[in-house]
Amino acid sequence: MSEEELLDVEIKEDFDIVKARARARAVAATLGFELVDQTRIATAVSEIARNALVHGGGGKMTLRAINRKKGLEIVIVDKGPGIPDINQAVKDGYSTAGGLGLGLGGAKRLMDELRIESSSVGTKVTMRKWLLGELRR
Amino acid sequence: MEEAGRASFIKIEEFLLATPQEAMRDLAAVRFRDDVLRRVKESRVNGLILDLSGIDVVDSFMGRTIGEITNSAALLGVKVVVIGLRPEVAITMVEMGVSIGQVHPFLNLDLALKFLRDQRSR
Repeated sequence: MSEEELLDVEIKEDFDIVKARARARAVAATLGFELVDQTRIATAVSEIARNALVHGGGGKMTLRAINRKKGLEIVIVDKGPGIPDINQAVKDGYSTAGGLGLGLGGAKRLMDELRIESSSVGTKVTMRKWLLGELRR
Repeated sequence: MEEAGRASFIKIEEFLLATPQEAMRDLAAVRFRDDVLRRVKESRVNGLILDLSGIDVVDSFMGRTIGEITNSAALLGVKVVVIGLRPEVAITMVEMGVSIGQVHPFLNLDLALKFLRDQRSR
């Protein structure tokens, strides 16, 4: 997978969450991520994809291999009403959907980078995991 | 490729062994929860053994659902043990902060059965 090659997964129903994380795991394995990192990536994707479905009414995941620094970038976008208070949303225990409130904060801990851009017309979450990221932390 | 979420149920001695066999979509996880609790009630077992070896991702939703199973089963009056959690899944759960309720984890079925038999004879 070259840097230019994109891989998209539509997120329209709950089974697409399973598909998205399986796809992300498979790509991560291809890029050389170990089992624990594959699982971290799949779990973070699961959280963010569910947010896109539940709060954003569905969305799309795009995977991109980053060649220069050896890593994986995952972008999940939705066209929902946006997150009013991002700082609040990444706090543990904050939930508007009746969950554990660990989704965004948990995903952030599992990945090396997580950036949220949100407005009234949608939300874009960009996550990155670097190969050997664990040894650099 | 992950599929929709089958599960198996086996009665061992006086205990129910419940095993999700693959990754579950959210709807399947909720159905599995209800199915386990119904079977616990109907089969009049003394203990529930939840085998999570087939689960490759425990995110906050799955964690909450497993917690609902273990806590509810405990309320029904059975001892609940969890076996087979994959190491990489355990690491991820710890980092996420996902807890699955007050539950006795065991490395394998033998140790879980030993514990449950011991609990029963007390």
